[in-house]
Amino acid sequence: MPRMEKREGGYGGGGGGRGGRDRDGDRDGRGERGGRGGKGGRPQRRKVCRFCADNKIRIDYKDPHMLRYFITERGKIIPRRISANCAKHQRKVSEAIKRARTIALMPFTVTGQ
Amino acid sequence: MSDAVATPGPRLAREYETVVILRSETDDDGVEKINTRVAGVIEKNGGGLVTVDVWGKKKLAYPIKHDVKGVYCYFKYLAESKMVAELERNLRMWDEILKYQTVRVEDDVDFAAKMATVLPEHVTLRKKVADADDIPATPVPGFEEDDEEEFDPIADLAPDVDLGRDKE
Repeated sequence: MPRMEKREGGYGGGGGGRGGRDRDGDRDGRGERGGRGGKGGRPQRRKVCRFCADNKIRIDYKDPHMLRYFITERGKIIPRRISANCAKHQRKVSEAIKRARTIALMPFTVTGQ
Repeated sequence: MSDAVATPGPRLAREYETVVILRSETDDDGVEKINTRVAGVIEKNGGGLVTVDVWGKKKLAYPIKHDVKGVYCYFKYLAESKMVAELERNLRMWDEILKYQTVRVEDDVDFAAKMATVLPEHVTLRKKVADADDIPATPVPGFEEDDEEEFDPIADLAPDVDLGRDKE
């Protein structure tokens, strides 16, 4: 099977068992992420909320093209620890996605057939 | 608490917007009918229609009542909660309606001032039923020219995380 094993629980378990890379207590992305060269060896980009950086972007449930950036291919809302949204805007994004789902602009779930 | 009755200030209303999904077979006549009905209900109950828009026929993200496409209509209006209930009661009786959703946009809108800004073309049907899926998606400001690399949160920030995407 080319597909990776399915993990019902979602994302949190991703780093588990690999030295806890994702469990450094910086779950909300507020701290500085730079210079974490150590174990992972991968420079972390500093997360900035897109909506805080550019206040021209409107979060609107009528605009599924924009909201598509914040769901997975399965239709799940991407947690803000990954999408780098601030709490305020993640709230608005998730609200918008849920509204868009209600009127069938976005899927509740995408099954692989 | 006490000012609502005593002071004759500007009439305040709430701004709502309702999206209605009609069956895919709905033609221009059907859209026209639903439009007059909605406008009628809003007018009769003392609300004010602000915007009417027909988004056209779009593919639904999931089938509703076995329909995979639907005609989207959008209304924005000033009203009070009772009028919304009345409008939704009307919508529920309409056979061609697959689904609807009303969202409150704003509280305490000055009714007269807002209605003064409404132009006739805002509340007349222009675009009718057409396949809206054929229209290419307009690039979203702030997203378009940031290349994927800049904002593919999964690949970028958490390469270990499996989000159900196909990887090979």
